[in-house]
Amino acid sequence: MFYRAARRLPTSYSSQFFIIKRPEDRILAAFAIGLAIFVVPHIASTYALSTLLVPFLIFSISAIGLNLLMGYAGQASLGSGAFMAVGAYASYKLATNVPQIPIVLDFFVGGLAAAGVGIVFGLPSLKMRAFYLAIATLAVQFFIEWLFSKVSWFWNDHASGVVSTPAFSVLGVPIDTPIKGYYFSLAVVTLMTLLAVNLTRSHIGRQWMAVRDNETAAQLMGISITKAKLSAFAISSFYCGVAGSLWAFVFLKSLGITSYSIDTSFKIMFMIIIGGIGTIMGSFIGAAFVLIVPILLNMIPATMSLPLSTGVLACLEQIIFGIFIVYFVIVEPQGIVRSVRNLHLKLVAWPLTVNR
Amino acid sequence: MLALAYFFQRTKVGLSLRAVADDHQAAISIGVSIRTVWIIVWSVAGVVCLVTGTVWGAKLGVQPALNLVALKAMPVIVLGGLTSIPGAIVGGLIIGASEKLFEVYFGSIIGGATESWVPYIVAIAFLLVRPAGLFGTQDLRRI
Repeated sequence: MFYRAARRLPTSYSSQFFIIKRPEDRILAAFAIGLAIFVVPHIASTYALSTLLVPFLIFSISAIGLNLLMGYAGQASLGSGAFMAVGAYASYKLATNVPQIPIVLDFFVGGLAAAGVGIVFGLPSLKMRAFYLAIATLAVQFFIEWLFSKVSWFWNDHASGVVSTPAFSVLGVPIDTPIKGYYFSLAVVTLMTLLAVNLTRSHIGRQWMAVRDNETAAQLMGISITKAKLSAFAISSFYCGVAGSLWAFVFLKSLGITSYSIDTSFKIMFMIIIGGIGTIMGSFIGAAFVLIVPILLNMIPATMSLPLSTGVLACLEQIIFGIFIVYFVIVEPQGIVRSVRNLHLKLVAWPLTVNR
Repeated sequence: MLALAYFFQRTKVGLSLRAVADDHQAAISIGVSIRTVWIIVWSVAGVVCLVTGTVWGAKLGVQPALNLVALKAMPVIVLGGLTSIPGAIVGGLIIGASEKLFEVYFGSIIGGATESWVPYIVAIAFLLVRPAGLFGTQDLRRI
């Protein structure tokens, strides 16, 4: 119907390097990007933009980051929230003390700082694996949380632990309204996604996957385990750091350690597990699921006008969300992205059936 | 705790649990019922945690934030070594003592409330020297 599968052979070497191979898929992708740029910000209400779409974009960056580390390099990590905090505090320090630097550079440096911390706390991964490593990354999480709640130098010695971030502008345009915040985050997400997709196809990504699948075999093939693991930690933390800075500057417009707690780390982990481990698209699907489902659940009792108190509501929301997580992990152990791909395969083969 | 140790090390059920942990396929092939094993494992874990929760609650108060205590159990077991009950006891003592001692002697110098992260650092330090924990069994790695 829409897809044409027959006689689709590459005619040049460069055409084999396209990220999206099928021309029909490219049309779909262009359509989606056009939708994100031209349609969504205009039909979405300001409320939806600022509470739904901007967090979704920012969290998908950190989900991609964790996915690179967990899904591609196979190193379990529960420290993503901490890396986000490092990025946020580093860019805050830079933005307040050296305001003449362009803000994008601040975010970049925030990411680099997070990458540095990531390398240091990635060192245990050289000796530990799986479950043990997850414990080691919990150390980062709690240590960083403690550090940023005790050492007031990090938030310029303000009396309260929560400080507001300075207003900023990108290329002369002040990012002050939700729409501008949306566009800015969208630009960053697009860049980071392209980078991630290309990373996973490059030799670095392949080294990660080799290490994930079998460390000893990878070592025998001449891959430096140290380099592969540390680079995975560095790049993953870089993503988380940038996401953390955006979270503080674009979304909250304030900075406090409570928004980078262990819950955030777990949330990001849920995202990639539900969305699909080891796929970039899964990070987006997971982020959308984790952020949107609770809000939808919150709206249901209101629309049905059930007489429930807010406390009961909050608990119910958590319970139902937990059930959803368990359900999806049982039904689709490889994540929602698997269902999407199956659907896609069916579409490609239609009207024939996929034989598997 | 002694009863638990005996249960896991010596009884038939305990042995089948360890067989499953080692290798699912092999355990099934020698006639261990995986389903029963899962039921036993989860209920024993639940009961033990229930005891912990009750004791902890009676001593230090009950609150939803108790789930952070569960996270703290992780450095304890990896320090003592998975697959080892004595390891869990010794690990618990080491972690508990070190976090309080560190807080008392150094906590005031660097701002206090260090209990949140010291256990994990201690666990990492131990694991760097002994990757399988104090009493854990070192796994062979195969290709």
